[in-house]
Amino acid sequence: MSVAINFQNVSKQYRIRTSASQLFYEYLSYLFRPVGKYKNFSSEKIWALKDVSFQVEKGSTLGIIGPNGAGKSTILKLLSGITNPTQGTIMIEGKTAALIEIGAGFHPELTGRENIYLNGSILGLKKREIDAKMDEIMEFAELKDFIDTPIKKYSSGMYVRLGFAVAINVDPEILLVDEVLAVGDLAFQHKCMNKISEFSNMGKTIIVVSHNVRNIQMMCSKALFLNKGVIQDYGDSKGVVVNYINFMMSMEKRKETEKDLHLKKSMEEKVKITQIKLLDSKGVDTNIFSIGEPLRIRIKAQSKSYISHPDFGVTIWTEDEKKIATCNTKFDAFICRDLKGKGEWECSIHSLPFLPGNYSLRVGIYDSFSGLPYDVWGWEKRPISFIVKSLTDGTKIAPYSDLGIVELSHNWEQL
Amino acid sequence: MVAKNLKLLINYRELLLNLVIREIKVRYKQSVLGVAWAVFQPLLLMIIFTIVFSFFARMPSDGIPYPLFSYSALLPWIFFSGAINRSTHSLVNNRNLITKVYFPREILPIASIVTALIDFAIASIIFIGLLVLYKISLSLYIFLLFPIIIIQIFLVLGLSLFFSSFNVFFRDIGQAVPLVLQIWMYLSPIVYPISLVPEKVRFLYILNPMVGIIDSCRKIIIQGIAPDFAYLSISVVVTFVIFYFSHKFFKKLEMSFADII
Repeated sequence: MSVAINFQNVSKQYRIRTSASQLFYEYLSYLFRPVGKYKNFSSEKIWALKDVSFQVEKGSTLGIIGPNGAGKSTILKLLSGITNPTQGTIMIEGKTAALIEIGAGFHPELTGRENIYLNGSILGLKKREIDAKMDEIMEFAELKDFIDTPIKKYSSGMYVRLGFAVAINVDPEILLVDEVLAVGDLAFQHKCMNKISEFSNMGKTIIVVSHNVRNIQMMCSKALFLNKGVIQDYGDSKGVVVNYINFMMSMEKRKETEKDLHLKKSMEEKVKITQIKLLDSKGVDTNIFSIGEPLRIRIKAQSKSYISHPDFGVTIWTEDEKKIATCNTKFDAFICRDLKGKGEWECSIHSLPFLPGNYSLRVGIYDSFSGLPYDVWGWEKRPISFIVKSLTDGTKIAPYSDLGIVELSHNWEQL
Repeated sequence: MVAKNLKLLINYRELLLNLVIREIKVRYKQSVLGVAWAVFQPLLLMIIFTIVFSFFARMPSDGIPYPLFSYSALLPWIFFSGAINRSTHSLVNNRNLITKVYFPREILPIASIVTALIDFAIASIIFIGLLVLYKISLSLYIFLLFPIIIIQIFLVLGLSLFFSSFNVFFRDIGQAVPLVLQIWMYLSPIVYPISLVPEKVRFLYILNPMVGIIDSCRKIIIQGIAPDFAYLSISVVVTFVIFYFSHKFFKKLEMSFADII
């Protein structure tokens, strides 16, 4: 396999926050530098890419993934020749077409047709090539009726469709696709994806930048995972995507845990649930109920400090962790008295509608203003569960038979 | 380097054509008088100049009727100033193209120049009418007009490459250029003849490349005599120097346009 793209130790530096006068002084001092004494001073610079090397084989599809600011679009800009690398070399074999921004150079006063010619020639098409493809472009953009309307009258969807239709018809050897696929309705997105895989089947080289890892996994054989301008992982797209997801999740978790642990601790110190009891119709503490029987949930809690109008929430879950019901003082507009020291509350469910099986409960006490939990029971450490048993007469049998979750009160009649 | 660039430009001639079409179409869409505007500017200036400088100030005009005298200078001048004014902003105004798509960047200032050249051609039609009106008979020297126009195009091109690329980095240029052009106009023999410039400073005066160009236009069209080849060759040399360095300057900065603009 021959190589279509070769990135060798490529770095790209950008200036940020440089005003014109800063730039001016910098150039002046460069112009009148004492021999060998010039140093770069005034402007802040960042590395958008740092020492990036990779190769893309002809006819393969490479996906580039990474969080915002990873340098993905910079790679496309370098590939399309819009900008030069600060260091390193880039070798490209074949005509490239960038979809970096579809519809670049569209002019609102011109008609759709005029813009097709303009945009096509910007992307390097000759007039007769555009003539030959005009029907195809109009068809793809679904704009036949509006083709001679100035595009300032177009909706944004029409605008994007026209831009994509031109770009995709440039027929390059190397296709660069930026996040642009995120536009248009689902049907149009699907059409674009099909067109891209068509390209791939024709043996063209494709580079895709996307946040949608599923698309990357589907379309690309290889993937490049960038973070802050540095390659984190490069190889088989399935493995790279998994690494990327893990990386993003660990980033997310780290952010969460640092913040949450602190908050949780301070909340827990204020109020604790001390006891939860499930009572049947006769007020007996049990965890076995029949269909249609009432269920009362008795909650005891104790606060160290003064808690204004706490809220309570009860959720009921199936064994496979599906939430099936919620009872919440806030939603029920029930206002609890302020709590200082001990308190006791009861949530009473008039009639259990659940089919036979095992169910679990989660019960929490919440701050009424922020909705943040003080204390929650029902997770691994303090599970609360109950069983709904079959009726003795043999109807409504068998937990987990395919009957659903709830029992509706109903009857049958022959008409 | 220039030859290589020329080849690249030929490859992109369709883009150039489309950009010119865009500029012209966009300019005259939603306008009633349309292309006639290209004629009004020199025509009105000629009338004003004739009233102010000929009737009021009694400006000598080397024995040429003053309307002809001023219009023959205004034609190349308006092409010159119009093209430079327009092209100075050509890169900055097409920011979204420069940061999104690759193509040879000089296409943008060139497209502005071609647009101004078309205006120039339209305004020339009126000039032909004037020549007929004043019963001017043309001499064979008229054929020198084409090389002179080509020299002027290169001069405009050189200045445009310089101003437009410099304007990417410092927008001050866009503010300064109209002012510079206004001063430049009074340093060129448009409302007055060269003979009015004192001998002592004339060697400095003719370093302005527009002097040779405007003077030659007048001589070969209206007077039907040979141009002053000394002046003209100074224009050629200065034009070449400006073009050479501007082109180099432009090419050097070209790749950083997308990062700075």
